Amino acid sequence: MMTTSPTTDAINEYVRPFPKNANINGSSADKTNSAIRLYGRRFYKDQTPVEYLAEFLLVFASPKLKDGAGDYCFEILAEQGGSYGYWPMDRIALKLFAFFPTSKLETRHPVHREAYFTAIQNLRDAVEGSSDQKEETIRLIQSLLGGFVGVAKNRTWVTYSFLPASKALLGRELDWLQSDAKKDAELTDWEDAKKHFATDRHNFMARGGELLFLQLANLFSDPAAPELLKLMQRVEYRHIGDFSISERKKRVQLGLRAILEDAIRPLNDLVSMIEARLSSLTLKEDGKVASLGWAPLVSRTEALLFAVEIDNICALSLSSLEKLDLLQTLCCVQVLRSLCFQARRVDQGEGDTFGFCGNYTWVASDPEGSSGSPIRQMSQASVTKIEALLYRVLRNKQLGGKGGSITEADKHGFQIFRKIAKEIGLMIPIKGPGQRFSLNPRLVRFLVAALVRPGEHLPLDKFYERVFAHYGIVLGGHPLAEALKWSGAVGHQKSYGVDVSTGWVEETLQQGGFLIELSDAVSIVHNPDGIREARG
Amino acid sequence: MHQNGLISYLNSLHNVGASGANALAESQALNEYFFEIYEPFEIVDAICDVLTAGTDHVVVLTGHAGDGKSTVALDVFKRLSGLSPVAPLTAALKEVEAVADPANGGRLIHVLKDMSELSAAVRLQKLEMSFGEPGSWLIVSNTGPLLNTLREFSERRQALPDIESRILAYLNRPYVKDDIESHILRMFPKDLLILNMARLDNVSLGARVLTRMINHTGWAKCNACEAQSACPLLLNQRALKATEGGAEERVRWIYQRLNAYEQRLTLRQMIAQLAFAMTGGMTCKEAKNLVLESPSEGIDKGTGGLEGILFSEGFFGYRNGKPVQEAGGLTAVQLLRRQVFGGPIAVDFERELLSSNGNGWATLPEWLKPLSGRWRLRGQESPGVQWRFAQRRMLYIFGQPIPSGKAAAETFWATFLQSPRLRDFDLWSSQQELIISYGERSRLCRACLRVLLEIFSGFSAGQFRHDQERLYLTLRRPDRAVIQPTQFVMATLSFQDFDLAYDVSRRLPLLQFRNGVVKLPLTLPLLDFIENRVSGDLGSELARIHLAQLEWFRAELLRVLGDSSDSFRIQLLRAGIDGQVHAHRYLLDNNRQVLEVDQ
Repeated sequence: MMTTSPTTDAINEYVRPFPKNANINGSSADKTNSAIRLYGRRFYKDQTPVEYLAEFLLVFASPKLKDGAGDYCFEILAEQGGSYGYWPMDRIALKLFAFFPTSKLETRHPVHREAYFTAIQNLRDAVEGSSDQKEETIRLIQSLLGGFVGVAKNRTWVTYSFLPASKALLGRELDWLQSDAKKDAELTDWEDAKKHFATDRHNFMARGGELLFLQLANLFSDPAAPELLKLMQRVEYRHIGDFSISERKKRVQLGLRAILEDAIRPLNDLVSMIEARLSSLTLKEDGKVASLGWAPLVSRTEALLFAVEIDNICALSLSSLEKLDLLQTLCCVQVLRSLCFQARRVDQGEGDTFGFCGNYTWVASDPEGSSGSPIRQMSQASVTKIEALLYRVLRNKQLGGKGGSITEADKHGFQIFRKIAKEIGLMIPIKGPGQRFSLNPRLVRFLVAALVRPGEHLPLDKFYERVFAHYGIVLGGHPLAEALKWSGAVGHQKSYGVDVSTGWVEETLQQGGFLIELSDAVSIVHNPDGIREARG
Repeated sequence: MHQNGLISYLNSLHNVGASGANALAESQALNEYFFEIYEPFEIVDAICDVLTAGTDHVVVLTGHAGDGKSTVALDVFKRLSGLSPVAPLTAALKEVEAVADPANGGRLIHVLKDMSELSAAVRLQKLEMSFGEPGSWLIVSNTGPLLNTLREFSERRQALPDIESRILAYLNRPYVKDDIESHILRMFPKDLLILNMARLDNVSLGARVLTRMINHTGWAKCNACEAQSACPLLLNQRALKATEGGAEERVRWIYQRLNAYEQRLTLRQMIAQLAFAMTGGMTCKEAKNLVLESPSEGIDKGTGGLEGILFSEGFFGYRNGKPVQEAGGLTAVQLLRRQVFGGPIAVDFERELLSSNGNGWATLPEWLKPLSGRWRLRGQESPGVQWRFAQRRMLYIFGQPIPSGKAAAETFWATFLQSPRLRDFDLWSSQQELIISYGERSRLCRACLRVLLEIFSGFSAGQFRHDQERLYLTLRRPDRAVIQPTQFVMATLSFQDFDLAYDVSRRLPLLQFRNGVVKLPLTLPLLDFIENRVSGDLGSELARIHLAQLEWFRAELLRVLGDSSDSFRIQLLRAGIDGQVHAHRYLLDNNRQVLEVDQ
């Protein structure tokens, strides 16, 4: 295959970091790992979808300066020395209270047990009522908080995470260094145990959410970037221009804040009360700064699409938990999209796509489609091609990936794509041959929520075009022709005369209540606006 | 041999067989039988009023093929030109007809009968003309070409950017009588009236066509025929007539069901189905030969023929209890076949079906007695399932309940239609209001709320107290990844704040909160789901589309309630070990950091 490599200058341009003063020498991997060099610091294969969202919202909601300034905003603020980061809460007391009883037995250190009993006692004191009532109340609150567990898996209590349903449930990653603790002969009480809780591991909240935050901070730091203004002029992106980028920033900040803060105030109050009662169990009074990595400066384009989609989801008339569910999918899709956008900038072996600025295609096919159908084959070919692209780009000599670091880079810059795509159902089947892109009802609903403004009516073919313009996902209509052309660039032989039925997409849209048939030839996609509809 | 032209006309209205020539409005306009079957659309008056109003308008009429666009255009043309509405035209309409305004002779009104037939460039040119030249225009078009042309037209004028979304919203608006105002878009040089015939409720209109077919004066020609006493075609018609409107009602229920559960039929599709059910595809000549050649006596001469064409069989796409393959070409039949109509109802009904005493709740028309007897005998045999199905369909269409059989009839219909609320829904739709006793109204409202309680909280309704009077909106995870045995209550609403109302424009009952601050449209599937849940049927699943609607309703309720709930009050729901859900209330004092049990 012919691959024209861009010049070193061009590559340097593509990997130029945001913020400018990014601390790139922070670890040796920053320089040798081609995935980190290319995509920023960093995407990590094992990060779960909930933790992408939780981390993203955590950075957004936490203060960016020690004095508490910069919460709920997409900005990087520098301390006096020029360093930048954020100040997240650790929620250790809350986790102890909520998760300790269900945590893995062998990791429950005696000191934790003791602390847990203290916590229970403190809370008993906080409840006014008979002894039975106190007992019952504590069990109830525990069971309530247990219902908001985000990820538990096989971990110990302190590494569990909450569903980011409210600001009060946002906390940084904490790890319990069990083997260190075992060796520590002097460990007898909670005070001694504090040093064995680590905040810097990034095993679960592995900076993927930080990177998404940085993408937006980057976008909003230069709202007049010429390439974005140009993009908004293009026919297929005109809908983005409803709001300027600065207005968009305000809307996104307000929208996310409303989800985290206003929607469930009484729960927030309850959690504050619990934390106040358990203040003796926190790690450090005034918190501890968390460092931030960097994002490629050129990722503004995909960040703009991301911002528009967050805005649409926030504007929906849905409960906050429903919105969070959609945002979680969005974060995953944004990771996948960022990988492909950036890979295509560096790897110029493929052609451009008309109608989509990412210059790649994900051809989706009917999940039930027969294995011989042309669209399914196209879809399979499209997976192969995307994976080949992601694999190839990490080996670009100018990114310097080689030796041991390439194994790491592959994990977090190449295998990650398949992992996340499968987790959200964008790629099927989970196991076995015939890997292809597809959409399940949840993803179809997500696409409508993210792309069609509440109350907007969009002809079906325009909807297909918009899905393509944002994600490169090909469902039918013009994008399909574009996908054929794009795969044709590598001499794909079956690239003409494909008869494609989009019936499966239409049916899924219809079942979700998003498709209205106007007459037999014209259907419209409608994102029902609760406010107007319910009032009739 | 003399033949009745009405029969061949009816046979030309359906596409089962080779003579579907009369299906299009263009040929209908010239046909003598058409006008007795056709009932003018109400919107003809409204359109004529707009076209002859003081200011110039452009009226755009669109809809599915077969919804009656061309027929409406034709009626408007006749009305404006002063022609009789019931006389066939002598020549077909031209591409554009210009008529002098009857109210103001100097002004011209143009009727463009089918814009979608023209090329894109000509379409745009015509649209420019309609807005640019003086006078009013009526433009008929399919939706796709219309949208493209309107889009191009507005792009030339640099109209508002969301013009397309607005036009689409107008195209999606249902038409309510006398409310033309909400269909007028005022963004162009002339006011643009957009009417989408696909959004007209045509269920009753379609069913009324049956009565018009039955009462058509064309049948009178049969009186002179020697086969008339036993002619299967006539027996079919007479049996239908004997139901005195009963058949129309039963047909309307079926259309109502299709409309709510499957998809809307166009008028042409309904007419084709009805025409096929009237004749079974049999010609006048065939019917006559059957009678004349039959060795039987009296009315029995025609029974053999009637078996093959009985309305209740043809309507559902059957003949003699077996599906007719050709009838699958009728859209209405295709949709009906997604459900099986005519399955067993209940033990007592089944016993009566086979008994020679007949059933105890309804009578059948005289003309069907021999056929009914024949099917009963066949149904008694072990392979007689198909005849028992056919008998039930016959009872559904032709059965007239006797005074003491009302309750049984209700059960029979509800089970046959597989929808407990359909007949109420139909009644409300035709009367355009919620006709229901106070007791029943309050029972239905409660039933809705108990089902909502169940769906919103995830606990089953049986876990709540029997006299539960509150609806809880809880913080429930949509991903259901983890069981939430204890739920945080975000809002508690009293059942008394809800009541039922009726939305005339959408023809749907509503569950409304505080006199309409928030409204939940109760579609038929949702109503049936609620009814089934209340009667203890847990198996039925609610389609995703309705679950999504309930989600919106919940979000809207929360939005409306806003911050009105006291943030210091905390309420948790928890199912005890006995399964009963209990609410636990607390008062949170954040200053003292104390949680007080609210007794």
